[in-house]
Amino acid sequence: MSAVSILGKGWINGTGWGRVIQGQQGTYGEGVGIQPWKDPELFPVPVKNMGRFDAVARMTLCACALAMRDAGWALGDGVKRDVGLIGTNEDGCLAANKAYFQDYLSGGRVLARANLFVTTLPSSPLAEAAIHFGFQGPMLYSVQPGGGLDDVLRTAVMMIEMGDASGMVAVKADAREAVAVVLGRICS
Amino acid sequence: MKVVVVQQDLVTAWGRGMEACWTGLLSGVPAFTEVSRFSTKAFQAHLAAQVPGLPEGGDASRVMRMLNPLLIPLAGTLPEGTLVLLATTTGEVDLLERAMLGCLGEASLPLGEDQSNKGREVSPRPPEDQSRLDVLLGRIQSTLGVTEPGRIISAACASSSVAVAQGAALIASGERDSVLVVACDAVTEFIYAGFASLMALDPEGARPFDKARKGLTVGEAAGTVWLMSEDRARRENRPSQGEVAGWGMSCDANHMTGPSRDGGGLVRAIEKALQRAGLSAGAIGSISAHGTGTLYNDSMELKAFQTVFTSQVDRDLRARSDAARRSASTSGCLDYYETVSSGKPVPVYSVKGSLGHTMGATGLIEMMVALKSMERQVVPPSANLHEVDPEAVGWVSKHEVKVDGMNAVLSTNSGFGGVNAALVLKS
Repeated sequence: MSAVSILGKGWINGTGWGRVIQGQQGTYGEGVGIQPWKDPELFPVPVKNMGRFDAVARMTLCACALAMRDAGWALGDGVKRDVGLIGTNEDGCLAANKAYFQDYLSGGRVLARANLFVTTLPSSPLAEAAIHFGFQGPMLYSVQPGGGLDDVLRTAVMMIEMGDASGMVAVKADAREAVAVVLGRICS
Repeated sequence: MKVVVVQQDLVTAWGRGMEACWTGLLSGVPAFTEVSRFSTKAFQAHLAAQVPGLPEGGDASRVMRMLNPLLIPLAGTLPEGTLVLLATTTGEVDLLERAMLGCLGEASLPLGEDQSNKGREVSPRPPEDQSRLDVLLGRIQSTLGVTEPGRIISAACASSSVAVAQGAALIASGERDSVLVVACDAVTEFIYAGFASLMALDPEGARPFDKARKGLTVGEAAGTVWLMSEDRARRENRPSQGEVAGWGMSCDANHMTGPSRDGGGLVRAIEKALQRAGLSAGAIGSISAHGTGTLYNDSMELKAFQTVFTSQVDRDLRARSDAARRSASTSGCLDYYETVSSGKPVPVYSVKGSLGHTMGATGLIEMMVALKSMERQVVPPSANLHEVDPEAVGWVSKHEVKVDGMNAVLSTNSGFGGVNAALVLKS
C-alpha cells in the first residue's frame, strides 16, 4: 500500500525562509534583500538567466528549491524527473503583462521585447522552474478564486492518484511570498 | 467512469458553429484576413484569423463578444454542481491594452460576480484589473448564472486540452459529474507584437507541415464543451457526442520557447493518453496535430508521431506476424507481417493553416473538429499546404481523406515552456 503524502514544504517571504519538515528557518540580514538563489545549497547549479526573471518566477524557483531540499531530493543533479508542477496565485501574470506592454508602448509600439513577452503567461514561472529542476510531468497554472494553495494541493493529489506523475510540486507564489509543497507516495 | 461530451459550440474565423467551421476546413483555404484593428506596419506579417461579424464598439472585451453568443443559450441550463473550467492564455488582454492606452475608465465595465472578492471588503480596482483572469471567470459565471466557484486553467497553448484533461479526470475520479470547459483567446496587439518579436509569424500565412513554412498566424476563437459522466448523461437523456477516453500531459523541461527536438515530451503525453484509454497506437484513426507552422514545432511533432505510431505499428505487426508464423507452421498461412507491413502512417492534419493559432482556445476547437471528423469519417485537409515537408510525406495531406471505421482519434497540443498535452477521443 502507498498513500500520497507531503514529502517536503518550503516557504519564503520578504524577511526569511523555512523548510517545514526539517524544522529549519532563517532570516535575511538587514539590507541584504531576498537572494536565496545565490545560496549554493539551494542552487548548486546556477539558474540560467535568473537575473532576468520577474519576481514571481524567482519566488517560484526559491520555494520549489526549499521544498525539494526539505523532501531530501537532490538539487542540481541534472536528472529529469517524472514530477509534475502545478502553480497558483491570485494575480495571474498581470504584473508581467503590464511590464511587457508598457515597455512596448514606451518603444513607440514598433517592437516588443521577446524576453518580456515570454513572461506573459500565468504558467511562465512554472515553466522556468520545470526547466531548471527537470520536471517532466504535467505543468499547469490553476486557480479557483479564493481557493489558495489547498485547491491546487487537492488537484496535485488527484493527479498522482490517477497516474499523471509519480510526484507533484504544488506552489503558490506571488512577488512577495511563496510556498511550495512536494507530494509523493510513501510505502507503508 | 466514462466521460462523454454532451454539448459543444464554437466560434472561429469561419463564423459561428461547427458546420461553418467544418465547411471552411474542407475548403482547404485559410480564413486569414488583413488585421485592421491595430497597426501591423512595424511587424513582419499583417494577417490574422479573425472572427467576423462581432458587434463593434462598446466596452466589452473581444473575448466576451465571442463568448456571449455561446454562453447565453446555456444560461440557466447547467445543473447544480457543474464546474466551470476556463482555459485561456491571456483572457481579456485587450482591456489591459485599452487601460494602458487610457481608453478604459475605472467604472466602465461591470466586474461580474468576481469570486475572488466574495466575503471581502471590495475596494475599487485600477482599470488594468479588468483584464484579470478571475474577473473574466466572474463575467462568464455571471452570464451562465452559475454561483459555484469555477476554476481557471492556463498551460500556454495547451491550456484547453489540459482543461479538458482536468475536467475528465474530475469526472473519472467521481469527484464531479458535470464540467463545462470554456476556452477563449483573441487577436490583440499585445499578442501580435509578442509573436512578431519572436520572429514567429509567417508573412504569407501559416503553412503547417509545408516545406517552406516560416511561422504561425495568430487566430482567435472561443468554444464550450460540456463534459458529463456517462451515467448522468444517460439519466438525463443527453446523447453522447463523443468520449474523452484518455489524456496525458508532460513537460519537455528543456526551453521556454523551443520544443524538445526529439519530440520525447510529446511521446510521453501520447503514450500516457493511449494507456489511459486502453488503446494501442494502431487503434488511432487520425491525429489532430498542434501544427503551428513553425519550423521546430512541426518537426518535433512528426518525430513524436513517427516514434509512437510507426514503431508501435511495427511492434503490433511483428507480434501478429509471430503469431501468424506459429499458426502457419501448422496451417500453411502466409506471413502476416510481410503482407501488411506496407501499411500507411496515421493521417495527420493541422487546422492552423485555416483557423490560425487560437492559443488558449486551440485545444478545445481542435477537439471539436476531431469529433466532427469521426462523425463524418473524414480527415480534413491541412490548409495552405503547398509542398509537403519531406518529414511529413505520407502523414499529412492537402486533401481531405476518407477513413472508414475511424472511431478513435488523437489530438495534441504543445506550448511555451515545453508543455504538451494529448487527448484520445472516441466516437
